[in-house]
Amino acid sequence: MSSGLKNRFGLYMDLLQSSNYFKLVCGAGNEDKNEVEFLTYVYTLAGCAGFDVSASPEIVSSAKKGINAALIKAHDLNIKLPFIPFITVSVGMPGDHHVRKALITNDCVGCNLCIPTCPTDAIPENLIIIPELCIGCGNCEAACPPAADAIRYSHNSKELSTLLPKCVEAGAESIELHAGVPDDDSTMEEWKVVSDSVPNGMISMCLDRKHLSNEMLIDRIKLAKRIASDRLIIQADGIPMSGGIDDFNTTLQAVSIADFINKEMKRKDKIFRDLPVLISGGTNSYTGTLARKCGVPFNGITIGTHARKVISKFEAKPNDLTDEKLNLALNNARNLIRQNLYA
Amino acid sequence: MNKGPLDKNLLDKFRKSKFYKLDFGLKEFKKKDDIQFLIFLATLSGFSGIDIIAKSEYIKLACDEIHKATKKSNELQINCNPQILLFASFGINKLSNLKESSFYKELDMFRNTPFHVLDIHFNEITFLDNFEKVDIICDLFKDKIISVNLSRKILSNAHMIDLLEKCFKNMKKNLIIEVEGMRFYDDKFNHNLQTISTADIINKQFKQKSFKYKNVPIILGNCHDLEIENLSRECNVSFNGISINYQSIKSLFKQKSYLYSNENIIFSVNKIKSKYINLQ
Repeated sequence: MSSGLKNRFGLYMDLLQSSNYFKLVCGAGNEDKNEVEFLTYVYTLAGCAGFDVSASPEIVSSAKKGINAALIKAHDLNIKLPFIPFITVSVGMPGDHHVRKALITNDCVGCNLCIPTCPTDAIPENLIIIPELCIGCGNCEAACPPAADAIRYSHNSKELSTLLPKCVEAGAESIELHAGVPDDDSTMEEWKVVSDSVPNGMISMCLDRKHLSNEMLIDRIKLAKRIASDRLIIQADGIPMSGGIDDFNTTLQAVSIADFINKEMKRKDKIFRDLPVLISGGTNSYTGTLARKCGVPFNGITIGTHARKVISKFEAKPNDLTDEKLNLALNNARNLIRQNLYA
Repeated sequence: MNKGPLDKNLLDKFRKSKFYKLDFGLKEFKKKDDIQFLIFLATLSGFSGIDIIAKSEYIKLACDEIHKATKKSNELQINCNPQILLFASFGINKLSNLKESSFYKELDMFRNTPFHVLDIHFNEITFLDNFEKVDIICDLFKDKIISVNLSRKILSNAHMIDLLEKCFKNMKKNLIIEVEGMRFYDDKFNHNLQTISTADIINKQFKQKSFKYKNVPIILGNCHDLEIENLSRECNVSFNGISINYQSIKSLFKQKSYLYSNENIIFSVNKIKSKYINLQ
């Protein structure tokens, strides 16, 4: 490992062990380059430690572009940034929510109830979902009348062993596997590919309890640790992509799963004592507060839907964003980070 | 004693989230007097339910204590509940690997004892592949209420919802859900977090999913005190009742002087009421 890589790895570990890791989730299924560039630009200036983006070299490049633009702007505005944020690319097992795309079938009755529920405006009036915008959240399915039942999903299957090295070449330093599926064997096969793609980087497994009981969760983490060793991060996902509303209820599941992993693994088994656990999936400005209130330690918090929402009205290309609007966006982003990590 | 319809008083308690149950779960006891005094005092204190292992001697013992307490309440002019729901707790793991004949025999051992609610603890995963056994239990006990006792130890969120949908098909209005967090942890606030987050999943993915499921009551299980009410309120997780672990109440009484005089009984009852019954 070169000294540069060593330093970056050490910095990542320091941020995690000091519970100062805040990651913005641009979305595993979000392939909107402009939005990714805008999000990484604003949140880098706000002091965000990492970004989670779709596993596409073009999207990684957009994130790099946003970060680089922020570094220049920071110099202009005399903002001291303590580190350059880490880029993580997200991939998922077939069936995992994060990597699916919704489709409207011929059973559609044209009621249009799904259109306003889409958080990314991926459903136009012609009711042909725009795959680049769809993040697979399932809101459209919930709104679809049961009699029609017109929403199906496709999994954009990616050949990880060829794709991931390209993402790393484009600037990704870490990889995350969304593994909220029941089958251990196929998950571990993909996990090995993930591990081999960044042999010197941190790798993260994102798990939720939709298909995994507490016992299955423990078994899955043990298997993941065997392959990843000290490079393992667990992203404890409450309910994937459910962070639209800013209250305690929305973030309850996220804090609860982190609590379980802390107790059953970190407290009980010294091998897992230093396992970094990030809280995600339904996270918002209340997440850190609820975790502290319930005595749930964490190494970091990752926020997607809510973090994007608080700055979405300012969205523009970095060069087109006025200082006034940038300041407003930065204020919201900084508040969110502060409320979670330090409040 | 069969279930009859859930009387208005009990339904009202569920509606107002004021259903309190004393819970012995699946535990068996060497000294029966340990449980007798707790049932006696809980009944006098206004608990609405008693939950004890599904064995005929325990069920009989509980009935006797409830009866004694009701008589005592008249003497002391204490208002206790006119009807206490008696839950009989049964672990589904007892049925795994049993052949059909032994299976019926196991259930027959307590089938005709006078309890109201069969509390099935889903503590074994194999039943998911063999759901007919659950159908048979529901059919055998169709004159009772069935309480489905769930935790995420062995069940995923999807398993829980699947199981509840199947049980509802059999039991319709005679179904209660009890959720448990993690047992064996000292830090109560954290146990509460697991319990209410499990209830939250059931609220969102079962009760709110269809109008027909809306009124199925949820009891928060294995609680140690009423702190759970505060966290549930803050997190906006609705529930219909609370089940208090017997050890928590037992810890209030170091000496068994509680029954020596009416004064002591009243003192003990007030002590329990102040800690475990929220009348507001």
